[in-house]
Amino acid sequence: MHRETEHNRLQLLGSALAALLGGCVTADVEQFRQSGTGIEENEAVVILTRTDYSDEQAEVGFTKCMGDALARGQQPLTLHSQQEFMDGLFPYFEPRLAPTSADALPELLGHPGVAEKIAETSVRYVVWVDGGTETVDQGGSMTCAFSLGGGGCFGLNWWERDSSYEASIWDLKNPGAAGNISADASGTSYVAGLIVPIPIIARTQKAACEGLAQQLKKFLVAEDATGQQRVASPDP
Amino acid sequence: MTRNPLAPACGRSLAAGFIILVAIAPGACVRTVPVYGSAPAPLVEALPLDVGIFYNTGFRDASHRVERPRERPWVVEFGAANAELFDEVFRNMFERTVHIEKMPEGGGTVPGVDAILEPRIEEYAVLTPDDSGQKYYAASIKYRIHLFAPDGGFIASWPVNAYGKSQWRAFRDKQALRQASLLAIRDAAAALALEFDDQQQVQAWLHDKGVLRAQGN
Repeated sequence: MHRETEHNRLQLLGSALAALLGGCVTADVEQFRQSGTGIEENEAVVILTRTDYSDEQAEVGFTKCMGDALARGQQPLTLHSQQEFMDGLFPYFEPRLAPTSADALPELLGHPGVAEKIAETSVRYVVWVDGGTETVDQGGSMTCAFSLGGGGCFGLNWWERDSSYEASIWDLKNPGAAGNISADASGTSYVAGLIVPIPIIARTQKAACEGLAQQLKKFLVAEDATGQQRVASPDP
Repeated sequence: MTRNPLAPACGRSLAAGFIILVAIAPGACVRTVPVYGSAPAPLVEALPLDVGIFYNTGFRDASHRVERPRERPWVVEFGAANAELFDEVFRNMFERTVHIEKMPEGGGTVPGVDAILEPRIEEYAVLTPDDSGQKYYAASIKYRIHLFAPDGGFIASWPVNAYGKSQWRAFRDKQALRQASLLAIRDAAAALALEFDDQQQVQAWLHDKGVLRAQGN
């Protein structure tokens, strides 16, 4: 009993620390729908990233976070692996040949074997994710000194990060663009040197990932949702 | 107290040796990056042709030394992956393929084939995160593909510029460089699979042979 209480206390302390040390993040999610959607139990989604010479490629961690978020919670979606999808349809989704617009889908599906291969994978929606996270501003200073008698850090460092991602959703069953969802999250992180450095981290990428995944799930599951939705939420 | 008269000279030699060792050490400790992997079978309809495949030594044993100031050099060994990925693609592009050990010379001919394909590597280049200021490794390989008649006569030749990019992660430089090189080879394989009969000289040759690709492929 005593041990359980202590365990609960530790959990509470951990949660409080996480809440305290998490910086404030502002997230903005916007949606543009071009056609009706809906997904059946046996249909799957694949998340793809572009790796062209010039394009900024969404980080592996971001697409993994999105995939995890889509596959859990209420109405989880079935995710198909990006590598398996690209291998099965080789070379049509390779960077040099992948369609850049949903208008090219009918032509792509017309190639011998392509439609059959897609049917084998059960993938109905292709979600192209672009974007990235960057540090837009930073400043402050901190000094650390140590000696035999002890030591510590004094000062303040801060940096502002901006995570901006966009998902373009293509429907392979009714070939064409289904819509776009974009997520922007920004926040400032701090490391305060009060003898011990105390980090207060704004997890902008996580906020953008969760915002985008949540909206994408609604977008795909909902049959007739239309219009634009704005969400502003503090993190965590 | 006796003193060894050789001691100062020996000390100096040791110091000099140590300095030389420190100076050459970064160059000596080469980091080898063997590139390996496979290509999936391409979704293309095989052309009804028997084709001989010839890989020269420079292709099969291809490697490239990447040197940057104040860094230990990398040696990227991508020859084996080249042969493996190209083999998989050629096997699916043509009805039958056979490896040719050497090109026909002096009026000789390779029996039982309609043509001989020889890919050659002209250039390999790497872009490191330090070079680009971006968090990725990029590799580019410039190939030239030659198509010869069974007697070695010229049919066609065209360049394939391939590119691969892999995200950099801390302490995973080797993996990123390997992945970027593998993706470049895969990019070349993709180009070969779909763009082979886009070449004018190849089209003319296929026309002469009475070979037509299925529509939409």
